[in-house]
Amino acid sequence: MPPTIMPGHETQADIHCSHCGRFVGALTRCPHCGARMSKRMSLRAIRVFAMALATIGLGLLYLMSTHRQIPSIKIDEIKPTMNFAYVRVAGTIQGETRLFKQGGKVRSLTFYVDDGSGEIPVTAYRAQAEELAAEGRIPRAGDRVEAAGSLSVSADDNILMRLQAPDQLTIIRTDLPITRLAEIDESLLGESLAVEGRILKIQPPLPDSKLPWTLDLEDESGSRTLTFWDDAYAEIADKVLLAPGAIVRARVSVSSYRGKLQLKLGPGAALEFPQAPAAQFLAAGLGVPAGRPRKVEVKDLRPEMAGQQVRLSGRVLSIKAPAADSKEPYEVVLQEGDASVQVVYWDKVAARLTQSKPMIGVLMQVEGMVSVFKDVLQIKVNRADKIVLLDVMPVSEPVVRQSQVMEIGSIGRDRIGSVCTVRGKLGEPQSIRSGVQYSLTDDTGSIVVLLWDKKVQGSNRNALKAGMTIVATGELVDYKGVLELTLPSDQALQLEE
Amino acid sequence: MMTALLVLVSTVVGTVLSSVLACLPGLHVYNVMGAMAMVFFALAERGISLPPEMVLPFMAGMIVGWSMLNTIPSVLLGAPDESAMFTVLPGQKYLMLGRGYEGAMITAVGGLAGVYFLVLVVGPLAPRFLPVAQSVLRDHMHWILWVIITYILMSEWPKGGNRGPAGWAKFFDAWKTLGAGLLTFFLAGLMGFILLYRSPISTGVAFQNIMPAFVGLFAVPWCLLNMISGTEVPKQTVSDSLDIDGDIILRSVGAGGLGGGIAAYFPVVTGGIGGLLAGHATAQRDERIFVMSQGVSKLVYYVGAFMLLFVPGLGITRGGGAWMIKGLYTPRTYGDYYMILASIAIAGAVSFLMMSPLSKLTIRLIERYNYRHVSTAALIVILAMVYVVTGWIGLFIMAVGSGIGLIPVLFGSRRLNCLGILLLPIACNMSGFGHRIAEWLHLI
Repeated sequence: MPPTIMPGHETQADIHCSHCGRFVGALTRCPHCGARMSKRMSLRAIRVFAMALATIGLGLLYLMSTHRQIPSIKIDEIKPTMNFAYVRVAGTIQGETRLFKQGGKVRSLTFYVDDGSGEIPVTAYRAQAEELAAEGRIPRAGDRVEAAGSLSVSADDNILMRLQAPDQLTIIRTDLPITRLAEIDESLLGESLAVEGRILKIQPPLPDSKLPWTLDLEDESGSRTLTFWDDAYAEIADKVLLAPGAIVRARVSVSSYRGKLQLKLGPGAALEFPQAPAAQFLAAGLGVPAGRPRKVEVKDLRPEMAGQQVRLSGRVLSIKAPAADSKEPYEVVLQEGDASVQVVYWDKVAARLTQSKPMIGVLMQVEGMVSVFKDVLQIKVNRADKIVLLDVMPVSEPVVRQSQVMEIGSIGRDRIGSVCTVRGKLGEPQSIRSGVQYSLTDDTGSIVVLLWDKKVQGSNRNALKAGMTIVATGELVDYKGVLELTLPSDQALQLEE
Repeated sequence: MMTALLVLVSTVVGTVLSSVLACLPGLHVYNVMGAMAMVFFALAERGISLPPEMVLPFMAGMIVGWSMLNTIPSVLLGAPDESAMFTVLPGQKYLMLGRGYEGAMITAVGGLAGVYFLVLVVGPLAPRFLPVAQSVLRDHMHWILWVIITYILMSEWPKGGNRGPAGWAKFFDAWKTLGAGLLTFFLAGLMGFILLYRSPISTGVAFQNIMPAFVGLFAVPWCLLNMISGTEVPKQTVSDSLDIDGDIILRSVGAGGLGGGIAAYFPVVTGGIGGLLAGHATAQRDERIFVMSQGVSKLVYYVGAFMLLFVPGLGITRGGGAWMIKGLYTPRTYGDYYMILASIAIAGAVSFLMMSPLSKLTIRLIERYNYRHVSTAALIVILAMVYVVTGWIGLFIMAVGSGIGLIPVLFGSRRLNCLGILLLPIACNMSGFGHRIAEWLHLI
């Protein structure tokens, strides 16, 4: 009997018995002659095989990888074919870590590791860099470290390690031996070292200049000049102690400027005060040779002292700017304990107060002549460098004072130059060069609040959102006919919701 | 004069070599370039450093030649790399109608148009506009990447579940391909995390970390499928003319240039993804435009990404070829840029001229030898290359990649999902939480 062939099954040989030729369908053994049928492999079986291979294989690969140590290598073993390799290096930090900031946030940091065979820059970006900075785990010159990350190797021996996880950086802190100032010479150019000495003089940068801060240091062997930039100054933890006479210890790099050796401070954290209480006691004020004006406390001031040069400090209680075109001075009331005193200065001084502009709540030191005007005891200051902000970010006493909140609508041009505190609802942020501005609105009006990246950095600024109610204290300025409130620091912001 | 001659000869040699190698199904130009780079590094270690005027044009020729000629296995052997995913179906239609030669030549015309687009349009404009675009987009790359991932996953259409009574069976039928696609994406992503953070490949060849996985994800499944499928290739005819006109070429350049350009410029985005986005954006229905635009897209993607390394003032590295070159040479001047543009133009012309004879040769080959045997030979070459470069561990990674790569092939979902191997870990890293996931996985 001829085999039955169904329409459409003409070419499907495996549904007919290869022995007797009769139809067997899906059966694996012919029901007519008993011959074993060879079948094409089911696609379903291949699918299951593929899924199993993927899952089991991936599991094994995972186990294999997690049970394998990250290979440790010597820096001179790195070859171009090792690009993307995830490896570990151990060595000593050369120089200070470089921090790159943008908008007040740490965007990346780079430090150099030397393992004896060579040197490699290790870089952490964004989240990793921020985490390291927040945890205070920034490697310092001389520290022993072990870092794991992926290598980036490009032509011309351009090698870099990217730190992928903050936990993969282990730091063993090591204090560099102190180098005597007289021993620092040309042979140490580019080297990182630690120095310790007494501050002879501090020279802040002039207003609107791009010069660094300079600090004249001396030890028993000699003296040297130490320089640092504004951003490093902002990072110094105990700025109040930064004064002539104070003992400081600093990790610096030796450089040369116009043929003269100088010591460059890296981050502000590299400057420490090993004898903090003594240094505080000795603090005499920035830019002032120790011993000249008499240091007094506010409560000790007497009218009989009129004509004497004194130096005193206190928190700024109030600021009154003169009306436009008036000859009156600026009046700042300083408070120390329960006592207070009026400090006065005129436009020519006020115009030069770029770094040291008084703000309510800050700790300020002034040096001037005691005088009495209309039965009021005053300190007359006639040079801008005689006014110094000792602590621009007071922790214990926030800049914002709820009691001085004023209605935005009441702020007029007559207050330009004075400090105002306002409460309102934030509008949308608007990025500007080197900062951001918001409109702040209350029931009476609105005003522009300006936050410069360099000045306002911190958690308050990071938490700002449109629609949030805040209290802000800052100086009122006029920019192209628009009144703006310029905030001095992150503490000048208070978030209410 | 001698330098110009050296550039010319190096370009032609690189182009001819890669054109021949491109006819082997599954063999990727980056694998060959990786092997070449290892040779160059080894020579440099022995104090023999080849001049950049030889190495760069040679590599440029390799990339251009392969981008143009890889159409042959894509269309005639059905073993494309993932960036040619769309040419598979329309290309196979041409093949099954006996017009494989015509299909390959139409794609090559697209490739030639892509060379014109790169050299005459992108070349003069790139140094002026791309650095500006880069400074604007640099901080936005992470969310752009997430949008692309979302689009890839959400734009896959269910291929079942449209017949039969409503119920779980129908539901599962509809979700079968989608589920397979998602599974592929996340398995590949997990594999990517493992390989990026704790690759078992020897650190000495770490620059080829991903290579075995890519071979497993894309090349091996197609070779295997060709080997087990029973496809009979009909007799092919060779025609002297192509069914295209200027309008089709212009529209193809528009769609393909956009897709290839997106893929070349954005990190981790490949030609397949660029093709998908551009295809949906331009919605060209004509099959000829579809095939030709893939030729444009593929060439613009591979060659454009390579070219970006040389754009003065841009400073970005895109694509495996550029990463390998970066280890050999750092481009610095307009001189380098013009040299690469010249190499691309010359290589484009040479490779297009080689297209017709090599297509005819391949057709003769598949008519003479069994389609499966060609795939088997290709698979052996690929396995040998993976073993030589990365050893047994590389073969193991390749096998795991093959398992993942087979899932979309067998379930009918997009092979594009395999790109989760790069997309997922890189997007997480660019968003700043990749290391958190790696920590959670105990990889670091």
